[in-house]
Amino acid sequence: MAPRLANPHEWSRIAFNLSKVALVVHIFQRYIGGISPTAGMSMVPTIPVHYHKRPYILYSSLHRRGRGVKVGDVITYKSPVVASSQGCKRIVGMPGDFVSVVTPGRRDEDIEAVDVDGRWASLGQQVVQVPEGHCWVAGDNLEWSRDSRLFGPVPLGLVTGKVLAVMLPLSDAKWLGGELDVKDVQEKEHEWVIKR
Amino acid sequence: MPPKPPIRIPKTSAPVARTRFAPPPPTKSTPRTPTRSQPSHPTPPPPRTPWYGTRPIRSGLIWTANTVAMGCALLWVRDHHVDVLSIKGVSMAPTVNPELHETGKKDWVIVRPYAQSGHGRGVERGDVVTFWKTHKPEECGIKRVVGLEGDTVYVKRGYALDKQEGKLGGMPDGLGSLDPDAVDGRMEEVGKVVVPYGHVWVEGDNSRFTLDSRDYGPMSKGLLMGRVVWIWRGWGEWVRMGDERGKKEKARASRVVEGRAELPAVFLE
Amino acid sequence: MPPPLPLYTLDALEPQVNVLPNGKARKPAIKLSDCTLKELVQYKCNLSISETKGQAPIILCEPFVRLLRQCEGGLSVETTAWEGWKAQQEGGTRNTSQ
Repeated sequence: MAPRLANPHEWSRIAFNLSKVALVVHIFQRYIGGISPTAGMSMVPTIPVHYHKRPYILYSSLHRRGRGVKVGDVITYKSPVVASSQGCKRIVGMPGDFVSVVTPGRRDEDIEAVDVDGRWASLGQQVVQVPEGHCWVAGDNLEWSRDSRLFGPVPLGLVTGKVLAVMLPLSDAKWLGGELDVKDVQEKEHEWVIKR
Repeated sequence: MPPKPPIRIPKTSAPVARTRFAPPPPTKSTPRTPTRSQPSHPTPPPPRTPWYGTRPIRSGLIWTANTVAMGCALLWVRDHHVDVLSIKGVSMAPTVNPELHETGKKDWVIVRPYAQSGHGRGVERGDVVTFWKTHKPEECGIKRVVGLEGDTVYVKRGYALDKQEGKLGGMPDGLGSLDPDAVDGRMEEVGKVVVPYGHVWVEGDNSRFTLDSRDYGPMSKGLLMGRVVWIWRGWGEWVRMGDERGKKEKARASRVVEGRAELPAVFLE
Repeated sequence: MPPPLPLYTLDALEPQVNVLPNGKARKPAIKLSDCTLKELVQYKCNLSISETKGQAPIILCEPFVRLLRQCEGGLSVETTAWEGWKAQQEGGTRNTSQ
């Protein structure tokens, strides 16, 4: 092995092959899908938040630009306000659908405040219709989420993929999607979720 | 305009890559033959088959891998460096497709994608850009950027002339028009729009036949694909992208007052 | 960012469902109460720091149930506020008719 590595041509061959691999991986992630770490509070408890061990999601880029996504799916999208940052939220309405108006959740200055009269993320008495080519997104954690309540409907052209599953941590691993998460109405009360 | 045409993967590319860079390393079992044209020549059966199979299988795998890599390279060049699109509409006449109505002649445009592929960094007023349409996510559009974030646009037609009472605007500052006491900064005057942070205002040069920001509002920079640099009208007819608008078209365009926008505090990390 | 969206009050929702975005009437018309009622559970989560020292903070999530009516043809209408309003209306009209 050693005499081969002494040859500079061998090094350039290795570098060329590595760059080919990197290119294929990059294109695969952009057009087909991949695994990616996430951060942020907005999808708790579906996607947990860990400061040391970041949760990993499996995403499909075949659903980019909103191909074949439906209400209840979790998507990744380029933020309409800061295009260089990616968001991950749940779709509540597709084009033509009607969604309830829910007031935005807490802001940073509310961090110490106590919610006494349900000021944050409270349901309004009005609905809006999602315009053509857009979707309405909301984080699963409505109190700490910057979503369509702030920046309005998201153009489907900004959707980069659909989140298929949470992979890590293993205790929260599960499949996601509208057909799993939009259920028939259950009679019993929903319980509070406690995360450690 | 149609979605981008799929890029064909040229089948001839792989052998080039192989002859230049990847002559398969000789293994103990199959001694290297000087002529590559007869790889499946019946040699004495090897005592051990390597995991990747015999020589024809291996060269087939290498060929496939190189073809895939070449296809990815072409996609990468299209995403990050140069793209070519055929333009079907007349919304940018007379700059693009000036003769479409008379002769049906279509222009091709050479697009320089924004470096960070789709983040719209470096876009300027007057640039002609291609983008994914907000109302039809699988279609590309071409328009001129008239206003940047923070600019005030006074339109002469479009939705901004309608009454805005009782409507829910996108709330870039986090204050909604839901709150009756809140002052909606974007719409204090009929016909006036302040372009929010991270957005641009696009208009077609041909103001009579165009569907643009006057109809669908400011457009997020994330939808921008690239800046049009050249127009191709046939062999020898290369035109640098400029501004061919006459007085009439300019008179119909919206008036823009330059301004600045800062990221609303609610979006700070 | 699309143009400002019209807001519809709960009593305007049922007729509005049958108006397509381009202003034409939906054919065949959809009756909202005939669509299947579904739910999507979201949450309101907050960090709760316990009084006793040394314990790791926990995240408490209060469920926020969104009710959806999913109609034939793929239309989805969020009726979280409408369901209660409708029940009240029907209860109210029944009372007056008696």
